[in-house]
Amino acid sequence: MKFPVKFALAVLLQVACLTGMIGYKYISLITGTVVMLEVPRPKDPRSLFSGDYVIIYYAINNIDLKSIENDIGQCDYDKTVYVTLEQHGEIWAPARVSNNKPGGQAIFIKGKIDSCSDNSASISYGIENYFVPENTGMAMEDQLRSVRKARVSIDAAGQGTIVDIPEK
Amino acid sequence: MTEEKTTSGLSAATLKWLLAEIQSWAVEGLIAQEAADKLSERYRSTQAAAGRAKLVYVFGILAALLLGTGVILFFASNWDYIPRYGKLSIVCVALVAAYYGGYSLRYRMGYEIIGEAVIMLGTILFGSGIFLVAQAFHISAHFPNGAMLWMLGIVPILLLTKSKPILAEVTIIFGTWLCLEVASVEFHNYSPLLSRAFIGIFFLGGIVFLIYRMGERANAFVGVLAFNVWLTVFLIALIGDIDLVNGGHVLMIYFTQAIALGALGALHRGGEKRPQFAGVYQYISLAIIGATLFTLTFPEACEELSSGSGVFIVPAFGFVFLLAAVLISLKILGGAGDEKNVSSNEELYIYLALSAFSVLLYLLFSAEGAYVFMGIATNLALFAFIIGLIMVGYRNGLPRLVNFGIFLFALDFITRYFDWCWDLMPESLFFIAGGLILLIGGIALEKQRKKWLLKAKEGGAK
Repeated sequence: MKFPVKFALAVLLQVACLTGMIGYKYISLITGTVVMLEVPRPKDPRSLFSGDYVIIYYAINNIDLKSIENDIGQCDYDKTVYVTLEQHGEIWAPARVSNNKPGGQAIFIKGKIDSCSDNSASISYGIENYFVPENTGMAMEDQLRSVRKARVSIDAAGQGTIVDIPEK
Repeated sequence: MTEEKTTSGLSAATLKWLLAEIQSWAVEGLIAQEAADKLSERYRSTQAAAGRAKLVYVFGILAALLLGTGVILFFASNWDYIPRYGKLSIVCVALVAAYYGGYSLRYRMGYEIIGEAVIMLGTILFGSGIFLVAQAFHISAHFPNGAMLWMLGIVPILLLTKSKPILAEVTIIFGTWLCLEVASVEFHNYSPLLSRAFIGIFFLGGIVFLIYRMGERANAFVGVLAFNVWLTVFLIALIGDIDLVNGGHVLMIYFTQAIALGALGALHRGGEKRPQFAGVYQYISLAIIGATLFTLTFPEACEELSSGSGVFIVPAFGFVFLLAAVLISLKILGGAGDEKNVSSNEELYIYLALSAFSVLLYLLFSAEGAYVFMGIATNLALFAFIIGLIMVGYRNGLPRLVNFGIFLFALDFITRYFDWCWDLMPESLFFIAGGLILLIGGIALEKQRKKWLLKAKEGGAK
């Protein structure tokens, strides 16, 4: 293979990598079910590469295992779990935590266990960071404190993507 | 000793010697003055061209770094008047444009240096693109994966262009990835870090292979730093909360590693492969050994480092480095008679002595209440090390060893003066006496240093 072709392929690989990431998240967004999740407390730090963001602590990040049906058994760090959500009015709340992907029409979100105690599990879903324009982190934090909810799209594989933070 | 090389292949010192030689040939009538002038001009212009090329190289790389950093910061500011897909398109177009421009400049138009810098800009834009996607879609899943993807994504470009600055970039991203992995450890759960450290061995192996293949000293320097980052991460992954472990044992890992690195440097100096790495390894090795010995001359530091529990795996690491240091040293010393190795041999006795001393330090760090003895022992060891450096440097024509020995001596002397005399005399007298000692000592030292350096530069006192 000639050098210019090899070089073009190496560049194409990078472009494919970026567009693949974009495409994957785009498809996840447009095909997913949009749910409203409760946000009890936000916090705003800054990332060197991606700028200001607000850390969103969802109500579903901390699950009371005593009051919710679950079959997660041993609670290992980094273990993948599926949290089935049920709508209660405007907000979607956890109904079941399972090691296996739920079937049927259930809306579920995929997460990883961060830590466990006897009665509760701390789970993250990859939707905890909300990037905002520079110097608007505090304002977004205030907005989140006031509305206490975030709109999230969840695709068929349980992959979540933040859609937006409602103004009211 | 490996001297500073110009791109023409001649060191600055060799060029100076050559120009003087050419003129002396003319004076002695061996060649005509006109021929001597032409020859001198030829070598002078080669050096001037090499200097300009180096300047363009530095400017080009700096420009790529500044532009790349600017792009990263621009997108990090996340201005909302550019829509999400607009920003993503800008990065993708800029990425392709940078690679196309760099390729054209380097391979079609003959602007090799600037072309390489623009290609490097493309690699930075790729990293910027990854973090922009994370920002645009609010992705928070394991942040360090972004750095790993960045590193892997630019490897094909590195292999094709064989660019030394891009190799340095890959090495730096490798270190950054590992640091981010440590930063992302939560709830004292270090098990995922161990798998990353094992994956890291393969990446590091590839980086070391490329460093040796390309043979650039700056890459070797960055490579040693990256190895130390990997070593630290591997230790954290194995031990967990490293601050609870005996600090002295941990320090000894880096100390023994420095001894092994110094021996490796000597191996390069004596061998035909990559002799240019010898100086890099020796500088880093001497800096770590000197800093460690100097730190341990304070009994307070020894006491502080002795606290914490002993963990078997930590001395095991040190043992591996010690073994490497001893084996390399013995290999070179065993090859005595090979003229090329002679200048390295005496330096190796220093590394062997330091290896033995590090075993003593391990034992002292394990013993309770040995820190006062440890302080005294290290003071003596530092003094012996300084004498050893100056002697080896003087006898074998290695001025950097002489200079480093004198620097350590001055540093230790001033420290001990403050340590021992501060409480013994009034402050005014303390400073006056200190000033006088420094002045007289400085004159004596400078006089002696000039003599040593002259001998060292003449090629040793043997």
